[in-house]
Amino acid sequence: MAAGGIAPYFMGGLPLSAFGQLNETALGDDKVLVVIQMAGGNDGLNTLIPVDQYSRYQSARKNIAIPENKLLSIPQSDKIGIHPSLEKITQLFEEGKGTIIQDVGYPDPDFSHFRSTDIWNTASDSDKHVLSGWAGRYLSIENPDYPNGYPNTNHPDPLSIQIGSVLNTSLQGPVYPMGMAIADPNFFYELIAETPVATTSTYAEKELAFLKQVANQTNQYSGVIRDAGQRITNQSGYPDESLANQLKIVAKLIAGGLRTKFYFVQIGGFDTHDNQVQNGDVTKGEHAELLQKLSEAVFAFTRDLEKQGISERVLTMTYSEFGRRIRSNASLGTDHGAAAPMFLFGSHVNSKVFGENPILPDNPQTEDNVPMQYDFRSVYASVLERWFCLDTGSVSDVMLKPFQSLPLIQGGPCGFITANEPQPEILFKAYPNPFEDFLTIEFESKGGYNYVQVFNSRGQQIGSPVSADYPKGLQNAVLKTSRWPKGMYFLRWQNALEQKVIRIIKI
Amino acid sequence: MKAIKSFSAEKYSGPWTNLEKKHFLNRVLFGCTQDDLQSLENKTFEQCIEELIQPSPAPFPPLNHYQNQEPDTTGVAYGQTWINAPYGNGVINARRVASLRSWWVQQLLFQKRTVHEKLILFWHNHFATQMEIYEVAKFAFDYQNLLRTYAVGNFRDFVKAITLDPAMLEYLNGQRNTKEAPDENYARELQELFMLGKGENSNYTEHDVREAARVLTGHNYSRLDGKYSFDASRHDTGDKQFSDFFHNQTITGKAREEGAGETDELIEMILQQPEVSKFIVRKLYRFFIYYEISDAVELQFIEPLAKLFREQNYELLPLLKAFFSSQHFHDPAFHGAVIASPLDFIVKTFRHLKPEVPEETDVFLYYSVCNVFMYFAGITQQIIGDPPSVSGWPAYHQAPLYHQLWINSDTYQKRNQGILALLFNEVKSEGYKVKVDVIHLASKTTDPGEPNKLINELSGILLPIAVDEAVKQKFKKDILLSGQSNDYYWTQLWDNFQNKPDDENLKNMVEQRLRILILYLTGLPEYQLI
Repeated sequence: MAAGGIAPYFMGGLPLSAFGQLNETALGDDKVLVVIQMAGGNDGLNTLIPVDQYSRYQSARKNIAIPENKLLSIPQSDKIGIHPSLEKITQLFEEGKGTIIQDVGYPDPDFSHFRSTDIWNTASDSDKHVLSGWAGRYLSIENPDYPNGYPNTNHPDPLSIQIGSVLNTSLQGPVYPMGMAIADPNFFYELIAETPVATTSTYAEKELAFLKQVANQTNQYSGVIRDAGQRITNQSGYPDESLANQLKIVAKLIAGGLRTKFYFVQIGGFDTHDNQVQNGDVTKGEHAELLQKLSEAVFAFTRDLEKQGISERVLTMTYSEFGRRIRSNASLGTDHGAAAPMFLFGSHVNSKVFGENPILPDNPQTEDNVPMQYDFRSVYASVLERWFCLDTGSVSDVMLKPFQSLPLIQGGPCGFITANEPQPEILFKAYPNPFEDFLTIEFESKGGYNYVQVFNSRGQQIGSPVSADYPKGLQNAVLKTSRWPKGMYFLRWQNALEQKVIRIIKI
Repeated sequence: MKAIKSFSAEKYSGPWTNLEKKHFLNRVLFGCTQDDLQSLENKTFEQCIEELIQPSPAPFPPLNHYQNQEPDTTGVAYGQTWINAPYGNGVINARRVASLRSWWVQQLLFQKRTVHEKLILFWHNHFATQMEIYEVAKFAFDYQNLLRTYAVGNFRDFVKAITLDPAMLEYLNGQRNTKEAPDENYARELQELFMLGKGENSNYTEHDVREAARVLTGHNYSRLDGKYSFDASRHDTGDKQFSDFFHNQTITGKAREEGAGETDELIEMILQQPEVSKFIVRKLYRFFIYYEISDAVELQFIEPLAKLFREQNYELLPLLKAFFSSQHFHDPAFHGAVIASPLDFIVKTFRHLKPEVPEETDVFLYYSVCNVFMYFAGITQQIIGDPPSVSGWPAYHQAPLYHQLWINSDTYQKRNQGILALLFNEVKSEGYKVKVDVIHLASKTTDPGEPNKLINELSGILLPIAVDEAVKQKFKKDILLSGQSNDYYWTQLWDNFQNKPDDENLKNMVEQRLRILILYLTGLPEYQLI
C-alpha cells in the first residue's frame, strides 16, 4: 500500500489548528464516502466477464461479447476478465485498493429506471415506497435538529454535498434535504433571506419557508466552501471530462478541510439499449467509453487523494440502478436487467472479490436475469457500520431492517480487522438436482440467523423457506416443490458473513 | 395550513378581479405581466377562460441562422427554413439543433396569450424525448409540432401519433423492436409513463409489457426524411394475450400491413381502463395546480373531470375548459403555492423586464441572443427539448419534494445571478448587449415619483402574493431614498430627471436605484413562486 503521506502542516497559509476540531474528531467522524452514481443501468456482464463460463457468455451475447484475449485480469480473481477499458482500475486492484461485490441487487427487481433508482436511493423494498434516502436518514440520526441551528461549531460544513445542480434522492432526509448542491465552489451569490418566516399557514408560506432556509444555508455555507476550495491549488492531473472534473472538486473540498461526510457525483449514459458496442469492434462503443471515463477518473482521484495526504479518509463506492439482461439484443445492446457488480475503492477496502461469478444458463432466454447474491442494502449497511462506525441498531434503523454485514473494510476507523485467510469451501447444496416434487437443502450453520431465498430466473423472489436461528452444525430442510412451475431457479443462502447462490432445475 | 375552500370541479363563481386574474395567468402563461392583465380588463370570467384555452396560430418555422458560420449545403439559404431540407451532415444538423432550441424558446419568450405554449411544455414533459439522444433536428421539429398539434386535440389520436413519431421511435427503440428481438422500451413506457402510470389501480404486469412489445413490432421510419413506415416482415404475427388487468384480452396477430393496426387495438384496450383518464387529470393537476393530491382532491376533483374526459371521448379541449373554470383551480389557497420552474422563471422575467433584443430580420443575431435565454434555463436545470429522462423533469412528479427539487443552493444562486446580469446589461451574445429599460418599466406605473406607489405597483405585478409592508419600507428607504427617511428625496430625483431627461448624471442616479430595486424585488423568495 502506498504511504498516505503526512497532512501538510500548513494549508494555503492557514495553520492546521484553524480547523480546531481535528483532534477531537470522534471515531469515523473524519471519514468520507464518495458515491459515484452510474445512471442508466450498467451492464455488469460486460464490465466483469465470467471467464470461467466464457463460452456460455459468448453464446448469450454473440454480437457484443468482448473477445477473451482482450480481457484484463486482476490478482484478486482468476475467474473474472475485466473490460479492457478499465485498465487504470485494474492497476488500483493490483495495489490492493479496489473491491468487487458481485451480483448486487434486491429481490423482485423493478425494470423501470425511475422506480429502480428510487429503490437504490431510498433503500426500500421493491414493493414499498419510501420517500427519504438512505444517506439522508443516516445524517438525520446524527443531526436530528438539522437544519435548525446549522451550521454550528461542531458542524461548520454542509453535511453532504452533491457535485452538480441536482441533489441525489439518497440525500433526502425524513423531512429536509440533508445536502447541498454545488457546481462551482469558487462562485457564490448572496441570496436574500433576511426576513424570517412568521407563519407557515398557507401553501405559499410553506414554500417561502423552504426558500429562505435554502437561501440562509447557502449564504452561511458558501464562505467555508469557497475557502476550502481556495486552499488547494496543487492538485494532480485529471482528464478533462465531467466525472473527473466532479471528483476533482471533491478532492479539493476534502483536502481543503471540509468535514462533509458524503459526496455524490454522477456519470450518466449507461442505458445501452443500442450501440453499446461499436459495429466491427466490440471493445469500442458507448459502454467502453463510459467505463474508460470511470476508470480514468477514479484513478486520477485516487492519486490526487494520495498526493493531498487524505487517502486514508476516503472511501469511494459505485452504484447503478440495475444491471442488464444476460442475452444481448439485436441492436448491439442490452435491455434492463437485475443484479450487477459494485466497486469500492480506497486504501482501507478489503481488496477482494465478494461473491462468485453469476451463473449463466446454457441457453438464456430474453427475460433471463443475473440473480442477486448480495442485497445492495447489505453493502450500504456494512459501509455505515464499518466505515462510519455506526452501531448495529442504528444501522438497522437507517436501512429500515437488519441486513447482512459484509467485511468490506480492512482496518480503518472502526477497528474491523478482516484477515483474508483462505476460506474453507462453503457447504450449501440442494438435491436432487434436477428435482421434481421434493428438494432437500443442506447448509452448515455457524450459529445464529440462517436465511434461504428462492428466486425464479427473472430474479423474482418466490419464497424464503429458511428464515430462523439455527445452532452451529449441519442443517437441512425439505421443500415440497410439486407446485413449482418447471424451469430454472436460484437458491441463495446466507448465514453470518457467508452467502452462496446455487442454480437448481425443476423438471 | 390555510384551508382549501372548495375541491369542486364545478364552475367558479367568486370574484374576478386582478388578484384572481393574476393567479390564473401565472399558471396558464409564463408569468403574468401588466400587459397581460390589461388585455383581460373588463372581460368576464367566461370570456377570459374561453380566450386563454384556445390554441395559438402555428408559428413561422425555425430558420437557417447559421449560414455565415457553417454553410448549409442542402440548398437552404440564410433566413429560410430548414425543416423540409435533406439531413445534410452532422455539422449542419448540429446548427439546426441550435436553431431549433433558440426557436423553441422564442415561442415562449414571445408567447401568445393562451395556455397553448405551456401545454406544449406539459406534453413535452409527459411524452418526454431527449433531443441529445435522437439528435436529428428535423425529428425534433416534427416532434414538437406534433405536441403543438395535439396539445388541445384528442388524447387517443395524440397517443397513436406519438407512438409512430420518428423522434419517439428512435428515442425508445420502437424501430428496433422486432419479432426476433423484441425491445420492451416503448411498450413499458406507454403503460408506465404515458397512459396508466404506477398508481395503486394500475396493475398491468411484466407479462403485459412483453405482450405489448410484441404488438408494437414492425414500426419503422426512414432516417433520411423522417417518414414513418411499417415493416410487416419484422412484425410478430402471433396472438398476444394480456393479463386479467386487461380482462385477459387477446389481440389477434395479423400479417402484412394489417399488423400495424394491432397498435390501435392496443391503445384502445388500454383506454378502456378508467385509470388512464384519472392519470392524465392527476398529471395536469400536479403541473397546473399543486403537487399534493389528497383523497378529497381525488374524489371531488380528479374523478369527476376524469369522467368528463372519458365521456367527451378523450377530447382535451372540454377537459381543459372544465379544469381551468373550476372552483378548485381558482381557490385562493393556491395563490403563489407553486415554485416556478426554470422556464417559468426565465420566461416570466423576460416578459416582465422586456429586454431589447435584435430585430427578427437580423436572423443570426436574433437567434443567437435568444439562445442565451435557453442557456440560462439550461444551467438552472430545464433545457427545453432535453428533459433528463423519459419520465420528464423530476420536479413535476417526484415525491416528497416535487417543485422544491428545482431549488437548491446552486440553482437558487444561478436564478438570481441571471437577473443581476440582465438588469445590469451584462447579457451578451455575438457582440450584442441585451438592454433592459428600467426607466420605461417605472414610467408605466401610475405615479413613479411617489416611492410607496412605485414599490407597491412593481411588487404587485412582479410577485404573486403580497409582500410584507416592512420589507417594502426597507427597500424604499435603503434603495430609493439612499438611507434617508423622507419620500421627497426620490420624488425630487424623479421629477428632476423628468425635466432634464438628457442629463446623464440624473439618468444614472434614477436608473441605478431602479435596477437595484427590481433586483431586490426579484431576489425575494416570493418571486420564485407562481
